[in-house]
Amino acid sequence: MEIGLSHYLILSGLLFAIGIYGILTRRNAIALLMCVELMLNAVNINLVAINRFLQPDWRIMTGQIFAAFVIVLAAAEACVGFALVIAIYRNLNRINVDEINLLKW
Amino acid sequence: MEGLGQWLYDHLLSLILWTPVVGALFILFTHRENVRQIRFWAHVFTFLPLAFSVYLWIAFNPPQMEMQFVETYDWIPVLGIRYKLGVDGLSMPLVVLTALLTFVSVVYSPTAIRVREKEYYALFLLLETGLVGTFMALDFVLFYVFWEVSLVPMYFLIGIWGGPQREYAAIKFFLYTLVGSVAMLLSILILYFHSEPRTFGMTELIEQQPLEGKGILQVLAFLGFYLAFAIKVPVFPFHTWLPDAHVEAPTAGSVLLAGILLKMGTYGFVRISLPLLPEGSQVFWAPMGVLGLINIIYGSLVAMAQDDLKKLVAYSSIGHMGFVMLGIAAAAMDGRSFTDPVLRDYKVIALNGATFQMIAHGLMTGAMFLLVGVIYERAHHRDINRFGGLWSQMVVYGSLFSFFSMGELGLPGLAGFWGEFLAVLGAFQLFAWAGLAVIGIVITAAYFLWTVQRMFLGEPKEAHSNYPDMNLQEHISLWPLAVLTFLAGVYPKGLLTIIQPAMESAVEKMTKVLGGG
Amino acid sequence: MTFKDLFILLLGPELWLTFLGFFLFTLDLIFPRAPKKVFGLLTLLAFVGGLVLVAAQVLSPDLADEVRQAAQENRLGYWLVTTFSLDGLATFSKGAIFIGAILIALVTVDYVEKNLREGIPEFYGLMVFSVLALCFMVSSVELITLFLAIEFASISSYILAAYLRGDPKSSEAAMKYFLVGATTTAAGLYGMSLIYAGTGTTYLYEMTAQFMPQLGETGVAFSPPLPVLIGLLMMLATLGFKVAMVPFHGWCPDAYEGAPTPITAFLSVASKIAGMATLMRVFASGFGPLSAGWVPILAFLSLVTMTFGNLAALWQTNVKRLMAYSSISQVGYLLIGVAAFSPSDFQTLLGMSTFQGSEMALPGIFYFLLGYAFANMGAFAVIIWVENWEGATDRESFEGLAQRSPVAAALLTLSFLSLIGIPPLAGFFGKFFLFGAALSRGLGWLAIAGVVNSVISAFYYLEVVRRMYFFPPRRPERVSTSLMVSSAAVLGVVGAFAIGILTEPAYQWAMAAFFDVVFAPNISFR
Repeated sequence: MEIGLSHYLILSGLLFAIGIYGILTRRNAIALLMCVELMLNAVNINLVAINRFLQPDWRIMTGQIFAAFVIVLAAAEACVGFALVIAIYRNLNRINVDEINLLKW
Repeated sequence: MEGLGQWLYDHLLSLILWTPVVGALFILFTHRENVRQIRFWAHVFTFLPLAFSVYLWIAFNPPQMEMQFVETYDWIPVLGIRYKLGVDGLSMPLVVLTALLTFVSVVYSPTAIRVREKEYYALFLLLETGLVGTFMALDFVLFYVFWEVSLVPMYFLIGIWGGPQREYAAIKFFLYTLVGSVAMLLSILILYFHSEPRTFGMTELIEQQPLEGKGILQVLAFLGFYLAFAIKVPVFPFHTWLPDAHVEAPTAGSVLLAGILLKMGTYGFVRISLPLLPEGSQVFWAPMGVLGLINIIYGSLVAMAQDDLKKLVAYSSIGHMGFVMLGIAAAAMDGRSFTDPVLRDYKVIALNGATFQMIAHGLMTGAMFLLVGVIYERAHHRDINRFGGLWSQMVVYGSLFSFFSMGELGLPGLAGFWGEFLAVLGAFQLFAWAGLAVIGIVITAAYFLWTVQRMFLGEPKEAHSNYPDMNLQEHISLWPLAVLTFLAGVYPKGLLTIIQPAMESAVEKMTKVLGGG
Repeated sequence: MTFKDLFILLLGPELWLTFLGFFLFTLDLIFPRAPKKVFGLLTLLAFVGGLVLVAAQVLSPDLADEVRQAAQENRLGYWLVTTFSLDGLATFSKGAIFIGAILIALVTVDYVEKNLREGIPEFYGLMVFSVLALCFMVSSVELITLFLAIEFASISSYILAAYLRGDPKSSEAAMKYFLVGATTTAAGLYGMSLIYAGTGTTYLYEMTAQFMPQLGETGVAFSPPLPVLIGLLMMLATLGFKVAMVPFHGWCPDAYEGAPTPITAFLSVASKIAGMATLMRVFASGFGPLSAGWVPILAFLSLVTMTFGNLAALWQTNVKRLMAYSSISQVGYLLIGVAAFSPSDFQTLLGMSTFQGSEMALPGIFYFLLGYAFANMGAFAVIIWVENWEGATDRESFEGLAQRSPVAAALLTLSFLSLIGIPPLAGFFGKFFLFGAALSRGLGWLAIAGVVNSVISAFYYLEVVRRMYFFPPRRPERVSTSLMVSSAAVLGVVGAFAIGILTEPAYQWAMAAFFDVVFAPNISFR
């Protein structure tokens, strides 16, 4: 069996779904950050696969370039994210988002 | 000199409209401790519009059916929104009445208002602009702007200087009116989108009849306007804000509320609903008439049950505005009434009565609220049963109170009679059950006489043996109203010749649409 | 014009902000003892300069032609003109963003002096960079650029929201803001990848060009192919997060309450304008021909957003939090305009049929945004005014303000009246245009929902007004503030008044922006 575009799309869809599921169920801030990373990687798989299979001209690499940007941005985002987790931990001594509830309506 | 006179003449309406705002600015730049100067500016800048509007009355040409003193400038040309002012026989007396009542209220205010006077007078002047603008505007957007502008100062007047329940009354007043006005906004937009070419001009839209034969759309637009106007009038069952607002407002605020703000609603019916949406009005003429009757009877009955003098006057307003609504319902009535010239004349008579009643009620209820204020400043309560035999201590006050009570109950020879008489007469010829309004007149007579009896006759009471009679400000503020009530009563023709052409033109415009069928 | 001139003119505000942002970061290294106020003034200068440059762009009428010509003659990089657009939408939003940013800079200086001990230069530098990011956001017409700009703006805002380091509320606010932001951005990215799959390009207007012929044939808007529709909806998550649209609003109240107040103002004004402009760019302009697919969804979301925002605001006791819900509801009104837009506007403008009235829709949004920016900034300036004095923003701090500082109370009241929509303030005309557009489009139910919501909103705005005017003062002393904060408040309210009364020029400017949006897809640089 040849591996085609649909396989990649299904894989990325699964990854994305796992990420969303994690966001909705996990309560540890670090785990949440990991789930976001999963979602971003799903995007990367998508982009690269689409570029590879749907772009006839191999010299046009929009998808790959897009993916490279996403990787860089994911790193930057993770940086800020972890910094915020540390700030929260210093102030409140906990990183479970359910227990971070000074602000509520 | 010639040029200046001409310029004044050309911009008369704008002058009346904007002088109060200038006054408000003067007051804003006066130090808050300098109360004398603040009062001075307030007096000057309410007197000026009054002077201008007296000139307006003199320069007004009664037989002319079209708008007079029209000023038109482009405001938002892309959407055809203009700054357009003008008056006819319907709005001119109301403009004058507004200027008069505002001046009178400002003259009266120093005796009652002792705190935060700077804000008070600034808001009062702003309110005058809103009220006058509502009656002058001939562009729907401009009309809406002034309609809303008059809302905000009144909210503060009630909320800051009002009675014990003032905050509740203020927010209730604001929200009721806001509900009505946003409904009106939607109706205005519907009218705009069906006009060709697009315009917000009132006279242009009446000319175009954009919703003619549009069935449900016309009805919806009518209901939007109806909600706004009926809340303002107020028509039963939208009246519940009125007792709260009137009772809690400071005296001068009550004067303007009862004297002018209520007229914005009835003015809207005559100016907009009838000629612009005749088919919609026709559909609802019977409910309007029935609700008018309910207003008359219910208002009078509830007024009779009141021990609080101010509440009594407030409910009597509901009753009196019922007569105006009755006249308007008569004008809207369907059937042969538009093809038969005799019945058409009765429509004009009923409308004449309605408009006359607006003016008369403005004069008399304004005076009544001032009189309530006068006694409240002395007694610090308004319980009718705790007064008695006041006449022997306060001769002038008692006489004036009785005089205005007679006016309110519709004694022939005073202003109150003609409005009620003409409105009921016209309506009765069109639909006989309008005659039930007589019940209201009887009840009104009963409770006003009973009030006079309870307060002024009988044994003088110890508790108020030391009340002084009216002071100078109170005299100045009340006598003009008394004189005008008397004049309008003995010489109604003076007012009717001004009103009549406008009413004829309104009925004529309705006939143009409805007369064919 | 040479490449260099064009480049500078085209990217003027952005280059200027980049320069000043880096300057602010390095200045502290070179002169560690420089008074902190200098940084605030430099920030102000950055934004004023940006506004001047935008004005220069708007006032040089042939700039667009120059750019087009230069692009055709290959004098300007292909990469530049296809990713970065300087149409009316961009210049209008940048103008509005800079106006908001200037007012924010004015209120920041005092607040920073009072509440921040360290990292002040970086605070200002980050503010400049966030505005820079917003400028890129409203100008980008390509998905990668757009994504980078959005992330740039978001990351700067996360840091700014967390800037009160000792205050756990601030950290918590930033954390929530970050988590919602990161998730929605990831979802949006996934959507972008699907759109890329469906269209084979990342250039927004190339996608439009693919759909335009179909629109031309049938004359009716149509639903997009499924992957594109799903992709669009997922992008809506990102943009909805930026403008705090229900159901992506969860971060908004917390972030508004916990963040430093000038940053709250920034999020509610500048960030929201950029988000809304981008939303219009993607939906109304880029995917306008596909409106049959997204109009019902946006109409529904508009209803939910305004109703939710207004109802939730009724229970708020903290004025900053109240402003959060109020700004959510204002987004609901704005979305009415987007929903009332439809591709028949393309046709009208291309001369296929007569004007219908929904021509009010998009200019209405622009106008509303401008009025909202002024009124909201007026309100936030007064909130900071009170907060600097009282140290809190709960409703009780505002009690009796009318006697402790009549000017502040009057300004806040006028701002609120504008937000309620009382004429002749700008808020009224904004709603007037949007509701009008909805009515003319047959979305009468949305217009009715809009006016009902306006009435509901009067409750909670007037609750604050009531406390200011009808309550006795809590403390006798007057509430005074610096010239900068008070002038920001005055400017905000005067602005709301001015564009209310001088509706014509503001509306004309908005019209111009709208024409550019509609025509943008037709201007091909190739």
